[in-house]
Amino acid sequence: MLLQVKNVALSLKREGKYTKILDDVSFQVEKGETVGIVGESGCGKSLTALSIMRLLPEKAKLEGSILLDDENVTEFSKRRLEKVRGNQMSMIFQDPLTSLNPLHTVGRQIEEALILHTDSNKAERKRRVIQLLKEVGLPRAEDLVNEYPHQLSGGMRQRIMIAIAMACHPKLLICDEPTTALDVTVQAQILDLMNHLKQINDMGIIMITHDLGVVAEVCDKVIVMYAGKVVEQANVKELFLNPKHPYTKGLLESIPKLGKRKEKLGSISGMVPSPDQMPSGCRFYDRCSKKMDICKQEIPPVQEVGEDHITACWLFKKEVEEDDTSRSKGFETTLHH
Amino acid sequence: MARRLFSSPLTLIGLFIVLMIIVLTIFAPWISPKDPLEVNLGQKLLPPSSEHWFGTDEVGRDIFSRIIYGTRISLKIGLLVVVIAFPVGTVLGAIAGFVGGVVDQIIMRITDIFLSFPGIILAMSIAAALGPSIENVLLALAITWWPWYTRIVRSSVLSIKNAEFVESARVIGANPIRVLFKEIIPNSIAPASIQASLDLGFVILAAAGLSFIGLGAQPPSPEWGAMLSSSREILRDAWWAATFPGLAILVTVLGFNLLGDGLRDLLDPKNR
Repeated sequence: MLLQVKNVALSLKREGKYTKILDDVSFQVEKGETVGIVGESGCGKSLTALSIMRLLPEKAKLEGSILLDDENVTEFSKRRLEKVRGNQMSMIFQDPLTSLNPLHTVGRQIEEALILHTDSNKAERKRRVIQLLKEVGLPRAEDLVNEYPHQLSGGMRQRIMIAIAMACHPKLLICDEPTTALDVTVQAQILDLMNHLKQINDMGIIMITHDLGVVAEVCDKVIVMYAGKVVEQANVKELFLNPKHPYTKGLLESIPKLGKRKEKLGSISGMVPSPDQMPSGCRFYDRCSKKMDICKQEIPPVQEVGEDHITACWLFKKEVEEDDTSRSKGFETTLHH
Repeated sequence: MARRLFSSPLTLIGLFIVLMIIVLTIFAPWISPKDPLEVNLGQKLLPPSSEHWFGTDEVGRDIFSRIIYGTRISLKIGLLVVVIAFPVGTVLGAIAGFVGGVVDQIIMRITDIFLSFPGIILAMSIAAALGPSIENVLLALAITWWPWYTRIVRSSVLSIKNAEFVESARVIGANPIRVLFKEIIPNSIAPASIQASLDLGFVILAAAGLSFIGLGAQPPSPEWGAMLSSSREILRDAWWAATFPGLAILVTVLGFNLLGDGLRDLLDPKNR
């Protein structure tokens, strides 16, 4: 097991008091596996990633455990964290232009990771930088080393970011919406590159995105988050064919499909509740199309609803299961049309 | 970049003046026709002529030569004050913005104390307390100047410390000190360095002012403020003795200001 996130809760200090942003988040990432985290803006995807990297604000309170190769990251000292970051785990951000320092050359920025984590001399580092640039598929690597970020295109910059992240062969790579700022054709190339690098290096990837197309393309397993909680978790095929949680269904219905003429694209009305005004029961209650009385009062328990498929929804509680199977069958038949 | 610099005539004038001052400073012994300190009572208070371009003063010294030598003193004070105040102010401002919290409060309240007095008054009191000499003026001005840089740098650090490239540096394992000096400071000193180029002129003006009231360079020294001061009483009989040092100050301050303004426009992203 590469990464094990267990019952992680995160509270941030706002206006003098702590508010819980993440609540009871648990999932695992195996070597060579890509795990997608999907959800709307503000549902805690990025904070989950930052919690794993331990790049949280000073006053954040992190509970639960995050095991990287069976070592608890939440207990690491600052110095230990600096050794681990960039070396065993690394991260790529959304906008490759703002992620690169405009004053340093590309080569210098890739070299930085090598300076921090290896004992290599200047010539060795230069050789490795050029090798990395070639690995991420950039042409004329020798010249590129001396160029500045503003001289490159968006896709090239994101490749540079990947090169920086891959410099020390991390075991875990966290990608926070790596393709959102890129145009569609470049997106596909970047995703292919990541898949390729994952296979060569046998690393685990956490892919944070709100683009279900990206999920379908690269992920093995998907975690659906809503308002700081994991609401559903399954492997990709299962999730797309047999979504359980009303929120997941809503997300899937909001993607346009080829060859299907629809009057109106599905949408989920309403907004994610703000962290200091969380409902006491199910957090999706206000927006749910299938809400029941119990949802308002009690937090839905996490249940197994299939092989490696879990969801947190009252619809699937044992007592109501009978009633539910007929409903989900009905749903499947409509899906096959 | 060079073409845009040269497209503004005012900036060019500023650049020309500054370059001229630098040339005069370096080659003063070769350019000046006379020894600036040589007293010749037989030739006192002569009006400008081909022999003495700017005339002579009350003890017969050649004013033209004294002004050329005066560039050395003024430029030295201007540069040294900025060279001392700029790094001190920058580092303190960067620390205040980056660390935040109590450290920020302490540093910024100290700058508030300095900024709550008019700069020239504060410099006057420091120079008066230390005793009149050119070195003390230098020190007094450096002490009054750094808080400006601290304020400017702090505000630009605040605006970039959450930039993604700073986060990216943390992600690959850089410690906070490395992030501060390699990522944050280089990206936030541009506004402060423009201020520094403008300040060169103002520092020269302030130093001349302090020398004028007797707190800086002392009489035999060819310092412009001191020259103005000693020619006050003879102004009615010898207009040239006060006019030329005054013009020298004016032209120098103007030159640095024009150049500083030009640099500001050049580096302002809105003008691109």
